[in-house]
Amino acid sequence: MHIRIKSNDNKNINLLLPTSLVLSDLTAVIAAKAINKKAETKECQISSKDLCRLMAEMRKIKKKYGRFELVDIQSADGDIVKIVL
Amino acid sequence: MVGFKRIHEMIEYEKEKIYINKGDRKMNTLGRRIAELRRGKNITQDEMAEKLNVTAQAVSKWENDLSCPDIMLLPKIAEMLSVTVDELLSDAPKKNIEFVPEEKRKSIDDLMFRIYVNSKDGDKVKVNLPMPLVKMGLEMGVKMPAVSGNEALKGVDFAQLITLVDQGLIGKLVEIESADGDIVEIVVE
Repeated sequence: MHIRIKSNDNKNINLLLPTSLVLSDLTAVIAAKAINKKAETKECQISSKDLCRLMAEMRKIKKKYGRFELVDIQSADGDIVKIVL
Repeated sequence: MVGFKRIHEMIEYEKEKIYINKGDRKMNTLGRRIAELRRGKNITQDEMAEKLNVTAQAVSKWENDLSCPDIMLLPKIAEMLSVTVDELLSDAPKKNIEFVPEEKRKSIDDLMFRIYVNSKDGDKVKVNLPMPLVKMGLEMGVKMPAVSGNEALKGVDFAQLITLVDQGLIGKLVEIESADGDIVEIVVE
């Protein structure tokens, strides 16, 4: 997984994370706990079981499409956030 | 996706039309389509040129039908403008919504759910979600504003959209312009 953050003041963050680690069930459990702790509303909460299912689906997508761009955000100021699976 | 030979034929046809167009500017050409689609996406010629590693003058020439883009750039241009290469090269008016007969229909799991948000301030958000992920998210009750961060999506019935897609409708299924001037599009392809 590749997370790229580029700000207009030339501060760039490039995170290259091993997909198998990011999309593992252990990560899902940890992430679900963190999300539920920080979530302001109930709507944003997710159970670790559901997140594990989503991770499994994401692994299938990665296998099917290879390099897959999930999110591409470009702000008017020139900031860029990209998440590529 | 059309074959390589077919793309060549289409480009030759476009070149012929450019020649014909010197007398008749009303014809819908590749350049005009690129210009229209680019403006619709709020992309400047400079931005487009930068992404394609060409000069802004080259983009201007394409749009004014003085030259054609390189064949190798067509998939990139099509992706940037959220159309297929076929749609880019075809002068038939683009259908926003298309009904696909059952025998020609792709499996719903092979379809892509794309959400485009163009804010009034110039922010652009593009979220690509494979359909199985959307279906799973809906089953779990994940709310889409949590994904896109845009309030305009609150009123959209995603379950109903999935039903429409299941019945064979694809294309730009939703286009919302919020009171703030944000434009949200949902395209299934």
